[in-house]
Amino acid sequence: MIKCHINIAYLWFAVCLLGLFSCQVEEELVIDGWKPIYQGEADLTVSSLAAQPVGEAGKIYKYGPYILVGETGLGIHVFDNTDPSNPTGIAFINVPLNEDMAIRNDVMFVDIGRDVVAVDVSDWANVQEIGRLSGIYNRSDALYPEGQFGYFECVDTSRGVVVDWVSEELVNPKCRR
Amino acid sequence: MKLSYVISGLLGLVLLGCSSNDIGILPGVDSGGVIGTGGSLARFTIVQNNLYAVDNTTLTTIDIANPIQMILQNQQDVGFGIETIFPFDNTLFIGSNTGAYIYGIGGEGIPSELSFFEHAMACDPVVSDGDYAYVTIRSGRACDFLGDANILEIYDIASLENPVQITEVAMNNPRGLSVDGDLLFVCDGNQGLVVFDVTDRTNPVVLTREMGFEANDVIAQNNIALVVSPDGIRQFDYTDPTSLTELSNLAL
Repeated sequence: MIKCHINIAYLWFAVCLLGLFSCQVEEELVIDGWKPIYQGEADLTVSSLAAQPVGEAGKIYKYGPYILVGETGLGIHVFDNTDPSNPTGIAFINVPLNEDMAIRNDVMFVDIGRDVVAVDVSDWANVQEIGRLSGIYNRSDALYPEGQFGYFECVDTSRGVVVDWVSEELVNPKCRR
Repeated sequence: MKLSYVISGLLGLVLLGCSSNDIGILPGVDSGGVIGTGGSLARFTIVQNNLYAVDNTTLTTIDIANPIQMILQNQQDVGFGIETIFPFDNTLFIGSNTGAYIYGIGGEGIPSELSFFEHAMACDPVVSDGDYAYVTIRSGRACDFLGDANILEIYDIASLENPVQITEVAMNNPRGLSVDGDLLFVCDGNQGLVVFDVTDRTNPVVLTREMGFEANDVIAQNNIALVVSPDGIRQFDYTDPTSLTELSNLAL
């Protein structure tokens, strides 16, 4: 599925060498692709912010009078649904690299990249991290940008674990899918 | 391949047999916990004192009795393309790209595979009411390379080790789903939300279809269906399931 890509410039170079020794090496390949963000380079803390508009709705969750709407990768919108004809946004919980949530006894469990974090949500306006298991959640995007195709910067495992991918202009990327 | 399922099913049966004396309550469990409800596309779920999380290939069990000191209890390979997890009592239903798995939660909260029902390569959440499992299979997404099916399937799971398919209903582009008693709510992509009367599980009858939005997932509970779509979060009252009343629409 993943293949390291021999840069077109090098191919040209090789072709030229085999040929007349007279061509010039092509310019560097500059192209939009995906760049890995390593654990330690990303802010992985949870915090309460004021309610904000939902950009893209992901997971939904019901807990008591509340509706939670996940915004994948960013966090969780909280609505007071005491009156289902008028759900009211009361907070946005900033949860970087988040996809899922589940709540028991006012403690919300979320994934943050490869961590699972326990968050006290008894006060939505002031949530607090109370526990964390680091590096246990396996994500398939640790080696390549899942769901994305095209060029990407090859993962350097010596830099740690990849927790996210960002779209960026890459110079001579060696990997693509 | 099939043999391994039979063997793991038998192992699961043995494990289930060991714990069935506990009448479904695990030792040392505080059953008074207040637990929320996820949609059918969830990858996290809580059963009693444990958080179960699925990623692409793995089922992880975390003891959350004390959330300040969570304990990683178990991690096991399930298969490829794992997408969703749904709990019912001490049973976990796991949807994957190739089929649905049923796991029984044994002593100490560790799940073990009881059965797997295979189908065409596609995306498929699975939910259950304990007696039946409901699966939607859809094609036309990145995870679907082979399948060309858009269907709702119902399985009789009186024997968790041997689910029997009893129904297949053609759909448009089905996704998340939710069951409440004899009502089954199925998100059908750009064909909206469909409500089935499944009193006869072998013959689901369409009661109504709410159109005009692309339905992705639904939680139906206490006469209110919460539906998520790319353009809004809607709530419908289904006190009269033949004619839903839109209570609210949080436009996105």
